[in-house]
Amino acid sequence: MTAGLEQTQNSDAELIHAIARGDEQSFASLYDRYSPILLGFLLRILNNRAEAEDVLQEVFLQVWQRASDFDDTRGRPFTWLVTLARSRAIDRLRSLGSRGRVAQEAASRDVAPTIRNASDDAIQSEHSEIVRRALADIPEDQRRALVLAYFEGLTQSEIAARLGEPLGTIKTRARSGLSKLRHILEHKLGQQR
Amino acid sequence: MNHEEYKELLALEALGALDANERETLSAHLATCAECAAELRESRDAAAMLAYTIAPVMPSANLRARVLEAVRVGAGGSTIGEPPREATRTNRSESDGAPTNVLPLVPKKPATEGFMARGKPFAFGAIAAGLVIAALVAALAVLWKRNGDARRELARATNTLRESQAEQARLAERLSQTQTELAGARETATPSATPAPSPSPDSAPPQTDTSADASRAANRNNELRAELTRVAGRNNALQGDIATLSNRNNELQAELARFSTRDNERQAEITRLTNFNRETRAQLDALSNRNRELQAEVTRLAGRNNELQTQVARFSTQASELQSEVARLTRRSSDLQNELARQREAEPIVTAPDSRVIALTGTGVAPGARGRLVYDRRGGNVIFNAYDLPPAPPGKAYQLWLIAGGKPQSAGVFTTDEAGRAVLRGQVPAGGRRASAFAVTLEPAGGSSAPTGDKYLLGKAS
Repeated sequence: MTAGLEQTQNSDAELIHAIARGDEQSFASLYDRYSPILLGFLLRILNNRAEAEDVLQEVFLQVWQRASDFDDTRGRPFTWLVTLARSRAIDRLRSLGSRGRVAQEAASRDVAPTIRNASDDAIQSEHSEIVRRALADIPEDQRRALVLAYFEGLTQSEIAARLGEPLGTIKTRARSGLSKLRHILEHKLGQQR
Repeated sequence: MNHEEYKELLALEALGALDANERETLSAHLATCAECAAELRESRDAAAMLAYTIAPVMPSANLRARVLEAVRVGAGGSTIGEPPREATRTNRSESDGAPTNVLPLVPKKPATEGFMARGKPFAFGAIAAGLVIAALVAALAVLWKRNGDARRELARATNTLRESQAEQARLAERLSQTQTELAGARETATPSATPAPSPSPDSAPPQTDTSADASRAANRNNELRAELTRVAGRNNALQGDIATLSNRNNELQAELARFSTRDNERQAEITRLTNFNRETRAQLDALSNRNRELQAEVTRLAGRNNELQTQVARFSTQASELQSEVARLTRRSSDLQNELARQREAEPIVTAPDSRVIALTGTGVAPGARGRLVYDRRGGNVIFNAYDLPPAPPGKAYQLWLIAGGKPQSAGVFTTDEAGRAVLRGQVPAGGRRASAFAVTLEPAGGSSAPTGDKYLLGKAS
């Protein structure tokens, strides 16, 4: 399994290098591979289909423009994509203010008929299973701190205020939670750099 | 902060949860500490994997087409065939207003950072600033939409342009083929038009054939010339179209640049207002804290005031009680001093060797009255105490008489108090020192030289 993942990671990086040279085909492949997971992630943060799709478009346009700046010695392509998406989504969330969280467009969650690459799907659902199981092994209060920070975009002080806990407690929970997640993932996925 | 303390911040940074100030100090440390930078990368990798816990959602096919089209337009740029990266760079970085620096693995704080204070509702007092920002956001949304429309139009124009150029190329190729054909036809036609007698007798039928060929070739030539003219005309028209589209393309690019500039101005305005809002809120918070402190102080002082007032009231009651007591004691003291003085005065009389004490009793006019007379026969001093005498009527007073040898001599005039008491001190006249009888009579207020009124008390020397 590790070998398979390694190969996927390599080809992610290869795709990005090809995109840097202006290869539209590689760009389309990267889009097809990661747009569903990124859209799910953006939807979780923004809670609004139209906004999430808009941000997804921005993210991929930025990937196209900045692919040559990507340095695979400095991080995994997936981390790069998710970090980019999260930062854009949280900017959007803030610029929308409270409006952003109001309108949930459940009706627009249609399934578009796009041909998916079966091996991408298999790898992603395997990842998904591993991360979900890892998260289930982390104590509830630590998990909550991770989710509030990463998906709600709250700072440690905001989390402390929302949960009515001391700041020190929140710091400790977030640290322990992420450290456990790291440990489990390193064990399960191996070092992928 | 030391290295270990920075290390503790890494997980929170990877989760994007650090507060702004810690974030800044950490980023300075990361620039110099490879160990922390490496650990942050690993923490970020782990955090990013959280995205896998969320069910993927398939984007619409429409979105895919839009994204790919946008990229293709960007790749094409304004001049087809230009290297995509350069064209993309300049077009994109201006048109979408994105920062032109490297997408940082340590993402930079965006311009909108802190806007609405990380999603918190506006605090009191900042409503005005909030309204301004809301209006700007709405304006920005309109602008973005127009920007998007313009971009789509540009994409359409560029596609048309590309199609036209392809057609032009196709037509040019066709034209050159046609011209080649025409040249070929001319070559064929020219020798057959000039009569060329053949030495061979077999050449007669071919000569007829050549003549027919020449006529066919001439026709074909004419047809091709017509076609050439038509194609050239079509080509010119297309070139004109291309020029028009190219102009339109340039106009759209200029418009995009203009929108982008306005967008940046709006963003700057929003940033400014956000900062202003943040400062105002900090000031309000500070004032509110100060107010709260002052209120606490006022409450404390009011409590203290009440306590003090209660104490003052208590002291005041005590003081008035003490004053009454002092007054009572003062009176008592003066009574005692008077009494003492009387006693002192009385003492020599009472203790003198020749002093005598005479008891007087009430007459029928004052049956309850009594009197006590002490006098010193040698010194002539006298003290007389009367008890239970009725009050003297207005204009009247009592007079004490010492009767010696039947002759009364006045020893003094006195009145009584409310209790019917009286004390008289005096000097017995020399003639009275041998008195054998004593009397008190009621006389005119100034006294009389000899008794005139009723006798009230009577006594005899024993």
